[in-house]
Amino acid sequence: MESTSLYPPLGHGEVLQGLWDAARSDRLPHALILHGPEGIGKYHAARWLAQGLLCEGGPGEPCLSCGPCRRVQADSHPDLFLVDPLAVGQDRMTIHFIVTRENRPKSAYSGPSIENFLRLRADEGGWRVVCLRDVDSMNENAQNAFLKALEEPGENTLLLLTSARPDALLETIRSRTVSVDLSRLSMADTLHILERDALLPGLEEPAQREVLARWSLGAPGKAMKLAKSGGVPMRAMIVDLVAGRLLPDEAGPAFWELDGEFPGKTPAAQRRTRSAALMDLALEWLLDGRRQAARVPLESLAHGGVLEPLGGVPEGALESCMDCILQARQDVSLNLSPEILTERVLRSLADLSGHSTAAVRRP
Amino acid sequence: MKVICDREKLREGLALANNVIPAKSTKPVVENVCLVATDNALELVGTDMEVSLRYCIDDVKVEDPGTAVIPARVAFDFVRDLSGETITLEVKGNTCTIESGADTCELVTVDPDEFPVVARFDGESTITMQGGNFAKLVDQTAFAAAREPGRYAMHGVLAELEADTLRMIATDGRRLALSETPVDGAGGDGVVQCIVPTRGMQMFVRAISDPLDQIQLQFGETKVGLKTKNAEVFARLIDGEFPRYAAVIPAETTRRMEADRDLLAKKLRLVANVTGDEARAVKLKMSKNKLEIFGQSAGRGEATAHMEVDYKGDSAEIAFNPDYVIDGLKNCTLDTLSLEFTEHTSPGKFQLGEGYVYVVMPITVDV
Repeated sequence: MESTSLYPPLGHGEVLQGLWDAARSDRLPHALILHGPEGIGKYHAARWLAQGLLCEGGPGEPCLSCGPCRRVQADSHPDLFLVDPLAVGQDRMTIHFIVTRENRPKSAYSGPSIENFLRLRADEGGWRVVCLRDVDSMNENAQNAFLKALEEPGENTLLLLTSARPDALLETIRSRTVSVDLSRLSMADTLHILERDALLPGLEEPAQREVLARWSLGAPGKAMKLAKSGGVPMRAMIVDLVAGRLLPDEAGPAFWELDGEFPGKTPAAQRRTRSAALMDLALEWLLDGRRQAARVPLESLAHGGVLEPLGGVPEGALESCMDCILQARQDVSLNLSPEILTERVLRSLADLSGHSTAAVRRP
Repeated sequence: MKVICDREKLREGLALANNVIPAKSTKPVVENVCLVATDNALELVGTDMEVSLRYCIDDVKVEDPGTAVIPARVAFDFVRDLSGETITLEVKGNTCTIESGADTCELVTVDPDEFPVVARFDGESTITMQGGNFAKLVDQTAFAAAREPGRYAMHGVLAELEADTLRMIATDGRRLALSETPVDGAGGDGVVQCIVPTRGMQMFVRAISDPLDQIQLQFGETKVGLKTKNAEVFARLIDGEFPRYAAVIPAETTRRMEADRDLLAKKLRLVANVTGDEARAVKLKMSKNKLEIFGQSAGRGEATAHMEVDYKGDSAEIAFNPDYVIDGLKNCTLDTLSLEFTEHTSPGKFQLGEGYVYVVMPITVDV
């Protein structure tokens, strides 16, 4: 479904080495759930783990030169099955990824299912590995269908699940998998990954990469997502509004012209996603402001470096602004006009500048 | 790589390979065919990750040995529509040129290392038999395999090698076909069992170009292979437990009827015309040397047919899905078949040939 990156996943080497060691001594459980914050490379780590199991010299660090490694890289290894709904244009992991059903809707996923993959014995005689991305996007039906694979996986089968929200899974799934905690990457590793992808829009400038690395708190995937969706200029706009450097009437048009990718099948849907992104970001920033007020160390906050304009803003004002944004966030999901809701949010943020001790007073 | 070969032979090979190669796959590299030129042979390799094929074209002139992976459908379509007698295949960099007379086609190649590994016949644990006999076993059983999603163990044919006998069994839970034939080279003490996907079995049969040719079969842990004069086909095995079929075949029965195959098939088809899709059943009523076949449907009406049979017991009746019985009769090798059963609720056992048994579960109808 998606080609594997050539690079080893930074920051998770020790965990993967431990799992390969377990495989060498026949102690590797048949189902693992790699979990950790969004954007730290869980799915990448899962594929790397799978490649290390399928490598001719494995289980161990993939050699990248043997036949199985080359086939994994080219996504042509018959014993590796990748389940990544986003890569095939689906937003959720539906039951059609798990089992093959008759009378499937036209828009549903129509490729091979996990059940279909697991019904055959391993082609190259070793492991059969299934990597599932963001399993928390499975609905209850899909999870129940997946239980069969978890309960009767067959010989030499490894089910590698990844999730940022394992609590969203059914207890029956969680109890049948062994949890592997992956942690955030160091600042240096995050920067290294962002430099590697410096050709991506939004990551060209070293200063911007540094801002994003700090913002993402060791989650390069999140940093890339922010870069793609114009996160940096959007946050600058919010900060400027609260600091009084920008008026809502100026911010509105500028916001709708910001460069960035906002998913959606129609222009209206893309506008809704753009508006929702602004609201989510504003809420996140305001929450960090409250954390700062509660004396959480600034270096542990994603927006720690840009909270100055919130100085002096009373708790009550902060809360009513957040309420307003939360309400708008709910309304935008109800198909109400994103333009009006965005304006409401921008004005509510601008109102905070009246309390801010760092605000620039404009006539 | 540079090879000169006969156009018709290449067309035949590509046509066979395209039976295996998927037109569209989530793993795009398998939409290609791998060409391997060695000494005086050109090998075409194709796979869909479940079934794989190696097809060898002899009498080719290999000027420069090598490997190339090219889009299978396009290559086949172009070669099919060429008019020249010989074809030159030449790879330069990332392009493979197919040339015949004044016509040329340049195809983009894929890195051969990305192409899946396709097994090769190594000659170990093989048995030999006539291709026609193998095809007959498949034809007599594969039709009874399950098709609906789920119950994957029944989505294939169980191949069982015991002493000098090769046995194939397929079932969908409502009927079961078993056929066996003697083979050379089995010889082992134990029983080798594997479930081969129906598609794999069909591809095996397709690769047998002459039913009189000898073929070789190789049973492995994860795959089963078939080798003909020009082709090697491998099918991955289904990972599952096949139902215990021996328990389904009635060992002893109290009633036995013998009937003419063609006449029974004709009468069944006749009566089946009135049975509806919702209750597809015909009732077979037997009395001394007579058989009455009765079918009805609420919305259509009813039909009765009579024929002479060899039946000596007391009057009895049993109902079946006519489609299932007709499916079996199509592969019957005897002029006169036999049906054995005990009660109207017990399975009907049809003897359709030497070593060929077909069991159909009865239907309970209120007619």
